[in-house]
Amino acid sequence: MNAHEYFSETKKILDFAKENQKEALIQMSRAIGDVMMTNGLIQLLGVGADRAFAMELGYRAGGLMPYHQVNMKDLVLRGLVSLEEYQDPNFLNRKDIGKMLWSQYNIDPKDALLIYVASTATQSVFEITKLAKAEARTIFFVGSIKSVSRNKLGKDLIKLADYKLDLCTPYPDTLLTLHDTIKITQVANVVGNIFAQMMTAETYLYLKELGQEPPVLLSANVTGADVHNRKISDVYLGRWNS
Amino acid sequence: MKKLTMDVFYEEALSLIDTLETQEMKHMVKASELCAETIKNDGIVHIFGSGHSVGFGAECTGRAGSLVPFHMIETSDFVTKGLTTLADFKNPDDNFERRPNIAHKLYDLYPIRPQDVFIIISNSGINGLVIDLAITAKAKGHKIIVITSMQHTLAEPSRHPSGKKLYELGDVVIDNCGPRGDALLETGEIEKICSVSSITGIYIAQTLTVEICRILAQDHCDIPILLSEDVPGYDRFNKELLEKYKGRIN
Repeated sequence: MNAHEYFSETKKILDFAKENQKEALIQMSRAIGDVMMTNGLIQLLGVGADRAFAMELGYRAGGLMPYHQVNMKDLVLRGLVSLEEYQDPNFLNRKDIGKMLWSQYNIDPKDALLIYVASTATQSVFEITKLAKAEARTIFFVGSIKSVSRNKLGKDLIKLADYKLDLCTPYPDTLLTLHDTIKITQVANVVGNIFAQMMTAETYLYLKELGQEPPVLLSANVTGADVHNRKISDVYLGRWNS
Repeated sequence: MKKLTMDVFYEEALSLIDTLETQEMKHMVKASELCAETIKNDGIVHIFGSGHSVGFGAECTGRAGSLVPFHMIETSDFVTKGLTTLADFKNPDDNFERRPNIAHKLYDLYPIRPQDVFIIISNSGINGLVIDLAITAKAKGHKIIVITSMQHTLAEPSRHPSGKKLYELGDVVIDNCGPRGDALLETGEIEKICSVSSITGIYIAQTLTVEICRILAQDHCDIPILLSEDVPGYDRFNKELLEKYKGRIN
């Protein structure tokens, strides 16, 4: 076993996922574009290692502005729960924290929710998704459908989604065999992050073709970037940084 | 100019991943050797990246199939551990990650041992906090592994008072192969779209895991890996492993 195997194995999974999910990628990218055209934000939610997708889309140079990260750690940073509580292995499955977190943000009626669950649904993500659904928001689900739907909570979570994008990754999310039954490395976030950027390209194209000006964040190295980024961010002032 | 579809991004991203594999494998193996040596000596690999680089630490800690002796240092630890207020941390007029002369406070928060190694990630490699932490750790005798975009960092001036850039402080430097500004696709207008450093960052993180495990196995050492729940006895094994490193990785 060596690292070259990781590159070759992930490539196979990526090629399969890309072909298998082509239509889902296009539909989700366009639906996200539709939310953006109403000045809605996409609220991005993922917990633990599942924050990867939100971090990939939220406030990146070369990315689209109208995303906001719903971050569980905000509960600690805002003094609502202690660091010790947050570090408890059962924290993410508490029933009360979803509502506590969701109520922290200034969420507009036009906003939608995108959840990323690579393998295992947690109660807190489910609670937030239920709240968003009750508020009649569009729900986007991105994750390994095979992995997430292996229990009732995961199945119920997926049922709440209006749009679903399948990472097509295995359960457990481990890839290479070290020896016997011991497996190492993961693949879900490779597919997730590449899907996230493919969606950026597709949403950009969709908005352009509709004659819109896609709100792209410029790299800080481009002359005038600060002014441009401030201008497109201020549209959502108090919402993207609530 | 090609129409910017998701397929165009996919092809270019895969080409960049190929470049990473070909060009940077020797550096990733060298970095893995440093980490494996640390783990053999009961040390910890500390991972620090600010902004989006936090994702690198999240990718390789606390997951089934990941190594346990990895500790993720987060800039937000300044707030959660009471060193500053949330308002100061989020001050838009004084960007936290650009501030020099505060990293030593971060270093002092953790029970760091002499044999520990540091992985410091910054796409630009020019900001105060990451450079300062590298200087602090180097002065204490730790080996430093740097992950940065060489194309970006060579094109920009340092924001640190020393004038140094992060890559100059690395015992091993891994180029994430990303372009200046991180976005990959030209649009024909002022903006470029689709950033790539987090994608190549994941590949670097996973490569280090593979190579560290390979070296430890080759040298007949214990491999402190979290087992997935389909492995019989995983629960007890994982609990014992986490207990061994308790207080040093969280």
